[in-house]
Amino acid sequence: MIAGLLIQFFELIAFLTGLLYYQKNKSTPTFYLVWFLGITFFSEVFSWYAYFVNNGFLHFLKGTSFETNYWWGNIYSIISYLFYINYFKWYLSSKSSIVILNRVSVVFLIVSILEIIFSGEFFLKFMPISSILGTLLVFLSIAFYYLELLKSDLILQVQKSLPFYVSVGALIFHLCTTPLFLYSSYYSNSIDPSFVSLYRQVIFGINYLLYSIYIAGFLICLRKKDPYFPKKSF
Amino acid sequence: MLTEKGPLLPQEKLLIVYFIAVLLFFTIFSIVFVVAFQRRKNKFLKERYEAEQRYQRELSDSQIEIQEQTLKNIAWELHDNVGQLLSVANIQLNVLMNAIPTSFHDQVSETKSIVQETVQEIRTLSKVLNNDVVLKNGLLKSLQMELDRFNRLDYLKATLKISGDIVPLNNASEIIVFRILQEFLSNVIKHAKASKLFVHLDYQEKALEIVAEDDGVGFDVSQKTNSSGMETMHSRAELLNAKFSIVSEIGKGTRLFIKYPYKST
Repeated sequence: MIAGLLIQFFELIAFLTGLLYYQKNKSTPTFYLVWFLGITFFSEVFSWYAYFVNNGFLHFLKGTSFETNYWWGNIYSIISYLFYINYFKWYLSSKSSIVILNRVSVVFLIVSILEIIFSGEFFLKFMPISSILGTLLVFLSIAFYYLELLKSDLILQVQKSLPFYVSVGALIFHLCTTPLFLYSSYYSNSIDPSFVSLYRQVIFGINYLLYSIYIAGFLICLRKKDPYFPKKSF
Repeated sequence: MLTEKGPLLPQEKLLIVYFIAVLLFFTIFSIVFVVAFQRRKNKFLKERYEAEQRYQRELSDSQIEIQEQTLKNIAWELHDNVGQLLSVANIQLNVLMNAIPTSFHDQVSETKSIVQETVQEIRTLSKVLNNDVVLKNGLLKSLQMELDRFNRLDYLKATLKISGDIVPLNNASEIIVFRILQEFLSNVIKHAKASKLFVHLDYQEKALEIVAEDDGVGFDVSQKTNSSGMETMHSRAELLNAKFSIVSEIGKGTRLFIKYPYKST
C-alpha cells in the first residue's frame, strides 16, 4: 500500500521537475513529455478507485466489468506506447526513419483496437499482443534515435541531452515490465500469492528506477544548457 | 518420469515469443550499431588525414612564396646596388683613362671590359632570380638564358634540347619547374665538377618529361637525403603532382628526372 503510494509520489515529483525544466526549455517534445507525465500521474491516481470498490464507497461496482481497473490500464497502455514511439521522432533527421515510425504507429493503433474488440478480455487483464508489439516498436524508435546519435557529433554531449535519459528509462522499463504484464491474469491473491508479491516487487522497483532516471535527467539538463534542439516542428 | 502437466498456456507461448523477439532485436541492433560505429570512425580518420594533407600543402605553398620573395629582393639588390656601384667604377675608370700615360691604356681597357662584363652578368643573374622576368620570358627562354650563362662563364658545356610540341604551362607551374631545375643546376656547379651538362625537355602527349644529366663525380644518394636542397626540390615536385627522381653513382655523374602531367584545364 505504502509502496504503491510512494510510486505516485515519485511520479508527481517527476511531473513537477519536468514542468520546471519546461520553464527553461520550451521546446515541443518537452511539452509533450511533461504532458505525458501529467497524464500518467492523473491516470494512476484515477486507477486507485479499484481500492474503494472493496473497502469503500464504490461497492456498487462490485461484480461489474469495472470492478478491476484493467480497462483503464489498457487505454493508458496504448497512449503510453504511442507517446514513446513518437517522442523520439522529434530528434530524428532521416526522413525514412520518420516515415517508418509513422506507419508503424498507425499499424500498432489498428492492431490494438482489433485486439480489444476481439479478445474479449479488455476488462480482465492487460492486452498481451499490444504489449509485445508496443514494446518492440518502442525499441525500434529508440534504436533509430541511437543510430542517429552515433552518426552525428551530439554523442559527445549526450549526458546533457534529455531524450537520452528518457530513452534509457523507457528501454529498461518496457524491457522488464512487459513479461510481467503478459501474466497479468495471474495477479490475484486467490490464484498465486507468491506471483502477486513478485509482480509487485518488480513493478515497483522498475517504476522507482524509471522515475528516478526522469527526475535525474530533468535536473541534470536543467543545470546545463540544452545542446540539442529538435530538428523541425511537426 | 519428467513430463509436463499439459499443453503450454497461451501466456507461456507469448512469453517465449516475447523473449525471442527481444533477443533478436537486440542482436540485430548491436550488429548495425557496431558497423555504423566503424564506418563513422573511418570517416573521421580520413577527414583528419585529409586536413593534415591540406595543411602540409599550404605550408609548402607559403614556404615557396617566401623563397621567391627573397630571391626577388636579392635580384633587386644586385641589380640596383651592385650594378650601380660597378657603373660608378666604370665611370671612374674612364676618368682614369684620360689621366694616365698611354702605356697603361691597355691594362685599364681590360679592367673596364671586365667591369662591363660583370655588370652584364649581374643583370642576367638578377633577371634569372626575379620571378616576373622568368614569367615574362617563359620556362624555355629562362632555361636557355641560364645555360648560356654557364657556357659564357666557362663553368661547363651545357646543351638544351627540346622535343615535341611545346605546351605552355600555367604561370605558377612554370616558375616551380624552373626553380627545381635551377636548384639542380646550382648543385651541379657547386659539387659535381662536371664538364658537360645536358638538359632535355620532352613535351609528350600527356606530360612534360625533363631529363638533366651531368658527367661529374656523382654522389651517394643514400647519404644526402637530409639536405634541404633535396627537400625543396622534392616538395616542389609534389606541389605540381609531378614524378621526381634523382639518380647518381659515384664517378658516373648525376641524372635528374621530372615528369609533370599537364593540368586538365
